[in-house]
Amino acid sequence: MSILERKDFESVAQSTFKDLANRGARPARGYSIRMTSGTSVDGPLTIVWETKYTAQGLSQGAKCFLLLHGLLTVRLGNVLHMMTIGAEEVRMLVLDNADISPEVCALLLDFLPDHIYSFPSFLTQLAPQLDRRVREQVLALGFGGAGLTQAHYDFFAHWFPNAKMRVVYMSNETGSISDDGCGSLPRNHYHPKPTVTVDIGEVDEDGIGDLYVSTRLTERTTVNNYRIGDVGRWAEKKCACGKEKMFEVLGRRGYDFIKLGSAILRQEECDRVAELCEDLFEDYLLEASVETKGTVILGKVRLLVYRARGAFTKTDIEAIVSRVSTNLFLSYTKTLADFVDTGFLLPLEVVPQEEPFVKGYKNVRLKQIAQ
Amino acid sequence: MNTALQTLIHTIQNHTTEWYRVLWGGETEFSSLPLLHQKDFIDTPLSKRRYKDEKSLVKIVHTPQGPFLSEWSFADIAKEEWGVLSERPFVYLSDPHGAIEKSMWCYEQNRVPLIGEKNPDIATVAAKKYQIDSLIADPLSIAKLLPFLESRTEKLAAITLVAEVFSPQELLHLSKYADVVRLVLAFSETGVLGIAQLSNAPMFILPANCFVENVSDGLVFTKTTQYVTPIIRYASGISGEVSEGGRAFTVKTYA
Repeated sequence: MSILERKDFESVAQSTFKDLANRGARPARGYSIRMTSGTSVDGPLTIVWETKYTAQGLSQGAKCFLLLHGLLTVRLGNVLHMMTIGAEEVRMLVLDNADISPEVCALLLDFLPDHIYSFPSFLTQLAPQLDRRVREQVLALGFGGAGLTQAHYDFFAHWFPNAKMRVVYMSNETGSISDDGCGSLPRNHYHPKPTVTVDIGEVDEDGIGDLYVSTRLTERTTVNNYRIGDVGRWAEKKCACGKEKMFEVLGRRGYDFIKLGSAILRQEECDRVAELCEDLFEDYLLEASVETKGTVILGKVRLLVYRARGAFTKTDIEAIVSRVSTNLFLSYTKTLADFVDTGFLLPLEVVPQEEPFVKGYKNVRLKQIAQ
Repeated sequence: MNTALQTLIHTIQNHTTEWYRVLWGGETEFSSLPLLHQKDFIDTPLSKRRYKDEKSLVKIVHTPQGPFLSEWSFADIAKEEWGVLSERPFVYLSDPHGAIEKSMWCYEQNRVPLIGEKNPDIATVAAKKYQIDSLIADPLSIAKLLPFLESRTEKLAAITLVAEVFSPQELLHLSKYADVVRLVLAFSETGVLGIAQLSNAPMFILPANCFVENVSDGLVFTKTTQYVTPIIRYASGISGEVSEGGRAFTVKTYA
């Protein structure tokens, strides 16, 4: 199988621009120019979507649509799409980060969105500032792109008690990959969109492998077996809705999902344990690498920790090592301490930092260090 | 009185929305209708000043006195003269709400726009990729694009600068980057009030659906289109001179 890598996507992107230039009588509204956010090696990509192939349909029938997203190209693409799938007289409000203030939140009492499509982190900032009457009117929350953590689900269920939540798995390169969700899917599980082929390749002993996506971007441009950068596995059971094909997305390889042999480091789990250690440190970065000792390859986890309130003592460091090692699950049943005991991982190394961490894109805290 | 304006005023006076009726009191003579100010938008929720229901974009307008909502139907956005038609327009504005609006204007003209991300480096990478041929910007945002404009070997077909305030002297250097540089005077809540070619002393031409009065408060604008919130005797705070024919004006001081 020939795999299309991120570094080779530029030729696909160029092809989509040619298709746009040759659109002929096809209306402009059928196309949008997208930029990716550039989390991968080569920086942002500019690409054209023909929206009938790429768009999601989460906010069908919305009357008052509130959109929260960082990228302007995504905001515009969604406004354009809502012209087609929203109600006949749909009204749309697109918020910017700079808009979030008590005064603007008060204005939303005058708009009363029934559908919100958002990036999770954006909505977590906004939700607590919204009047209860605004939040109770929301019937649907839609999220595209990265999945939601359990903490997100609980948070949004609390703040928007009447809203159904749906997540579409998608990327800025390919558009939507999953369908709009059946309502029965477990968290971070998706059904492939009927027009998209999802394959999982280079599968390990746990059934986990790289996700490859084949889809159409424009009338003339398709991508085949694009390694999207996420890892996942096929679900063993059928979905409650009856659809057979269901896949689970586990994270972004090397960013919020790192595998050291059979030990899996996931940012969601690391964040959970970090909360348990709030009395010990305020922020962290986790580095994972592999070391060779003689003929043995060992995994190594290094936890960089920071707190504003003062230097770490030896006792603090020992407490962090103990608490993180015994609480951080790296498989369904085994903690980091278990992996150390079986000789697969080196003992956790904790390294205090004197300066706060520079926040990266999506607040990713995991880093895979190359050998 | 202009027929379209008569019709609009009649519609407003008989509408279920009371906003203008309350503002006007019992006044019926057009030239005696109380002036509309931006403060009236700030003080009145959008839901109380909506005169039609259509597919629309709602913008947040930030002012020193506080924010307010301004709603524009896509059909009305299409009719405002935001830009010059070109094949590959680039919209790069400081106000993200305005950027979406002007981009949707491009779509309504059957053109696919590139909307520029805030970071000018990222925006210009995309602009080069798309081989843009025109630009809609504002005086602040265009300053960030100067390295890109300077690097181009061909002039753009047009640069349109949209703003409430212009310092024409500071913009004259832009003429080397485009065949045409236009200034579009507008407030978020009013739409286009005047369009001028860039010069030392620009003469703003009124759009076809707009007329202006010069009163003691300054230039007062009325637009004959039934927008979601119509614009009737809007006190712009701009002082200026209206041409003899009444279809153009120059600005002495901006609001």
